[in-house]
Amino acid sequence: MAREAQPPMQLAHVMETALRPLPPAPGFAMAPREHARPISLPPWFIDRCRQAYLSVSFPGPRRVLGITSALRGEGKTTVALGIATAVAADTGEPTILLECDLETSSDEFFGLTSGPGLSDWLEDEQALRILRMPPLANTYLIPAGGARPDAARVFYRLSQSTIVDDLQREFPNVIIDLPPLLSIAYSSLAAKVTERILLVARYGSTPIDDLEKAVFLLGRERISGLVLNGYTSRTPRWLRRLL
Amino acid sequence: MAKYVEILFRHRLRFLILLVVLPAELALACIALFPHQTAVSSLWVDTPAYISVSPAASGWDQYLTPAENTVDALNQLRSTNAFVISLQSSLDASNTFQSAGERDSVLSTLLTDMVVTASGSHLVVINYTCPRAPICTNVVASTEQIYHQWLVDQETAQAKVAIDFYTGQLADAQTKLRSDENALATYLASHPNAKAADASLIPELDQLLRNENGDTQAVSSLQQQLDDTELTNAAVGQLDSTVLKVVDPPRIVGGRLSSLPKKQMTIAAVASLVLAVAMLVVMAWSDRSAREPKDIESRLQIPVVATIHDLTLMGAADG
Repeated sequence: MAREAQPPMQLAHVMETALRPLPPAPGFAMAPREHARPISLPPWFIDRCRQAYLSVSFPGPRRVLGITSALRGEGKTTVALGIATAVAADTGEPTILLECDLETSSDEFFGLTSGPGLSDWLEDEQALRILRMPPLANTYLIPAGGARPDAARVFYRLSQSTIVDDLQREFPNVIIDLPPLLSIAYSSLAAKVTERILLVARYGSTPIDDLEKAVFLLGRERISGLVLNGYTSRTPRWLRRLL
Repeated sequence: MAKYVEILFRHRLRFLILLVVLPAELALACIALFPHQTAVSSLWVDTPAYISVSPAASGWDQYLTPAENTVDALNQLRSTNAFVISLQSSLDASNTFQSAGERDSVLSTLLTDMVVTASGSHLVVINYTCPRAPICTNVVASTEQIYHQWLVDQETAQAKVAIDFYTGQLADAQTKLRSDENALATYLASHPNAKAADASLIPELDQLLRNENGDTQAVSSLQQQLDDTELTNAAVGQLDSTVLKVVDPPRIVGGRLSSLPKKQMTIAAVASLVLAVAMLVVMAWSDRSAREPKDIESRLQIPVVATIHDLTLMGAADG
């Protein structure tokens, strides 16, 4: 079990280090800390992401929200980043973006050099990396790590672990970037990671039939809503209102 | 509906080509391929009061004006095959057509290309559009001629029936008159003392004299009617020429606009429109992607919680 392999103390230690780094010893400089430097999102984009997360009803003060899509290339990672930024900015609480798309590396998107990530930690190969995501001081990232050929097995370990629950001790807001449902064979596992999921679809690109399949795989009760990304309607606004 | 409008705007250049550029090109092609001329002629229709027998064709509506009755008769006549055959013979005789194909084309579209209208109570205007000026004028002139001849034939036939009727009636009346004259002569021969002056005293003689007088009046009346009918029959051609006059002989009229092949241009415009609509329907049918939030919500039963406009930086995202 992943839980047995990753003692909570270790995760707690990583979180403690990430949130409250020890000051350097007298006479020594602060060790340089690795930061994620994701692409810069415009305010209007974050505002739309805010609109998306505000429409989700959470049972308590803590928020765990999964972001997925039917296919690759529909912008779910960008939407996940936008939602994490919006939540962090709005609540002022520590917010973490958990990258769970283990088959594709997002290091370039987050401005990271290749390094270990969630998958390596789940496999007991490396320590878990929790990185700050400027410009907000309360936004953090757990990268997925390098793309793995055995992603299904690793994801199974993730679904069996309590990492999400453990993270919530320090991070009230956990945004999970899930893999695209129709591009993986373990979509049923992805649905188990979180109770609330936002489905991202790309305007004019995602086939509606694929969205129906994704809804079927996740279960309609888990899906809090759909975010239509890349919306570029050419119909004039006044005409859209009439229609 | 929103989907169709969106496709229309998304591919506005294509639809602009289909709805504007293509019809314009087709219209120009029509002008080049289908040169047209328009001939006009005016007829004056009258009913002279001093002619006892009306030269109007049977079946005219008494509540319509002469012009309206003529338009009605002309339109009905034009739709008959006999008219087309007569017209063809007339045009062939005048060597109007350059080829059999041209003749067939002109004759097949005669009903739609010729427009007969009543302009006032007595004036009838014939408009005809065709590829060449000689065809236009000849067709209109022949139509008028055929219509005139048709009127003459109608009235001649009616007069003939009337003459036959009156001739038979007159013969019967004359036979009866002779019979009554014989009866009177026989009576006077058998009664030598009876005089016509005594008719009031002799009932039998009085009756015979009355019969003879009545027969004479009947014969005289029938003879008058027969003479009138024969007169009308003999003059029916001249009467029709008086009643139906060609005020303006067929002539080519109009400028460039009126000579445009409107029918072909309309067909081209409608064809382009149909093509555009068909393309729109096919594109909408083949587009299975998620577009309109309302459509997505109704299809998936999931609320669309946010629509995010296109972010060019999205290309940098891994997905």
